[in-house]
Amino acid sequence: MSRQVTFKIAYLDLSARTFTVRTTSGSDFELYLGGRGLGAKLLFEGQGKGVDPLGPDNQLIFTTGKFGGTPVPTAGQVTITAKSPATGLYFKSNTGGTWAKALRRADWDAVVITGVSETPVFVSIDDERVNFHDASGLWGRTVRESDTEAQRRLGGSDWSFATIGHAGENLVNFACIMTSLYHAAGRGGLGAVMGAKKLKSIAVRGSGQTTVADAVTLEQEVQAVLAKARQSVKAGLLLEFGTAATIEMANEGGSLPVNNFSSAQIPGGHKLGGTYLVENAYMRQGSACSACPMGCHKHAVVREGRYQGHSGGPEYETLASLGTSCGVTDPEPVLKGNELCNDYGLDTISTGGVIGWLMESAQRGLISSDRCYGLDLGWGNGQSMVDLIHRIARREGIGDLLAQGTRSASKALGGESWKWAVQANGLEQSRVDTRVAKAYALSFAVNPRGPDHLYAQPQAEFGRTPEARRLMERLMGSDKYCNSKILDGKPELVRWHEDMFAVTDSLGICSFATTTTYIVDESSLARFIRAVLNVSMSEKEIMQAGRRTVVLERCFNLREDPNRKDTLPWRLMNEPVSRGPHEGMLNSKQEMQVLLNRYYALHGYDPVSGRPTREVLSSLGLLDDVKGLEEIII
Amino acid sequence: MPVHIEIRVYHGIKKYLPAGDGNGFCRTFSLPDGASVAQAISALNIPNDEKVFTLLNGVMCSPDRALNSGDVLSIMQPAGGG
Repeated sequence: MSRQVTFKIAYLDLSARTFTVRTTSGSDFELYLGGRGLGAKLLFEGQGKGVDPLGPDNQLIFTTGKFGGTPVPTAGQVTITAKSPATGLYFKSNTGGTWAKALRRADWDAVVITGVSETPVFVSIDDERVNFHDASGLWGRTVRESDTEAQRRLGGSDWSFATIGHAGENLVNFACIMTSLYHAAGRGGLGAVMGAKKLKSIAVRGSGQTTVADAVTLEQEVQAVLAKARQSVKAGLLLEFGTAATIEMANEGGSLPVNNFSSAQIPGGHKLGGTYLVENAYMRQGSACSACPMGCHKHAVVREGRYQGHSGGPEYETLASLGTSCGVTDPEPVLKGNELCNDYGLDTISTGGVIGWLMESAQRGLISSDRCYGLDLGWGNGQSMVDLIHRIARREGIGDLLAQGTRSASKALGGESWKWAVQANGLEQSRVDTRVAKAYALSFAVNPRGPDHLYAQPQAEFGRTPEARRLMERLMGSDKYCNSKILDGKPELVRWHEDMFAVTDSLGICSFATTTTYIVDESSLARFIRAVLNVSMSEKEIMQAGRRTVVLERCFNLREDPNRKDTLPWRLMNEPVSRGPHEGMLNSKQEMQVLLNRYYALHGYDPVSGRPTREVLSSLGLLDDVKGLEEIII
Repeated sequence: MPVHIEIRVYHGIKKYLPAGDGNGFCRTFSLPDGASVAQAISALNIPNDEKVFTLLNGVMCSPDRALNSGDVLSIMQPAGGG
């Protein structure tokens, strides 16, 4: 079967207000599968080293996968790729909803945006018709307000939007792009890239249908996956409680970031958990992405009082960042904070991270509350947390400092505030206490985004489900390695998760299917690829495509900053867990070196620098395929 | 001497607690001396085929682990994802 699968890409130049079409041919599908993999290649080849993330030459790339628009379960994801203003490095951010399906129905695989518009603009893509619209009256509005007004102007009710809020317009370092009430391409400040281009929103709709090669076989495989989803405890939990169900486990198990990662458990933390939120009617069933049987997103409501409102979410990360990382266990201000972050277009993880940093800085006497609107910055003040979100999004007063993210803010504040800036390479750490989870520790350190979970998610290290233990047994010959505190088996586990996560993002499905519930595996993906595209790929070839993307992303960073280190935030590498069931645990330099050594060896990287070698790049076919890759070889 | 432990129950497991239990997520529980984690689960009328995940004092444990007074047993379903 031919592997010649083409990708149709819309190139939009906002400076010139033009658009052109490019259709790829050749081996891009076979090598990268599309989606995120295609985005990585376009980013590497389409811009050189040293591009200003907020300048016209930084590409903002939206890629769906070839499964987008089809009935493949969870096929609703879009990957957004650019150079990040937070890290100065490669960044991909995913989001779900209906935007990807709409783009595919419009018969596009990707949109690449360059340039900077002279005035605020929004773009509409209506099948093959691409138009630029004046965004006066949208600019300066929240995401929800903007989408409502844009829909009114465009007419019809079937548009999907990718939109920024005040935070993106104001170039907040961790501004996000929202694709619905529930869906955020949260991390890395890609909302600021969009805001710097003065691009408010991209509206998409399509009248076509995504055709598949073999609908009968596809339906059989879909039903097989749905049957697995019905048996999966994790899938059931996602449906009933969303990712908030993880809060109880993390708090009971002493791995929940509390007070800026200075503790790992908090009394009353269960009030931010899915059980409490659902029982007390704060949360109810929300939305499912296209073709998803798990429907993890929930709708949150605070019915009365000063935090009254409603929003999509919150996710575990949000509850742990705006909530416990700031010492807050009252759900109402946290739900309000979630709503504000979504409306303003702010990454909830970095927002909670920077607020927690400020609280600790104030408690340690480095900054007075006079500089912070007189706010009480003790742990647990939910009102202060909410107030600060407004300030950050609008860059008012202390918000202007916080909007730079903890790396820059701590440099500006001085003293030892860098020690409790829980970030590495410019990205605030996702809310996992990696001191007690060694596979996560390794995966965070090597993640080109920074210390973050949406790159590998090696959940199998906990061995909490039969699927997780089966995976570990397959990789290591035994499920005895399902122990988050040990180092053995973790590099192998991380490598598999990285490759599978890249495959997932590249095909345009959700990591909850492949690396959380494990209900879609390599063999299933091979059957889906054959049924959708009439392409035959082995499981090994599929995973190698994922590996190729992971390595290429690493190469982008090496070209950009040869001195970038695979590392974790200082606190996690130097301050042991202070109390609780995992007291004393640490991501020590020695431990991290053991993990990295094995990880580098598995990949064939240089053992000292961790750089991909000529042999690795050649064996993966990257050297022949990617223009300019030769320059990163030493 | 019976052992007195604290039980915390979350997620779909809560439906097995008696109705009208008040703040059902957390309660003290008395069990015979030498009772195990498995026996505590059984005493709550949680069926054998229910896929529970347990932590004893915050740490994963085997079902036959004996309980001591003052232990905290957390019973939930295996969640994941952020």
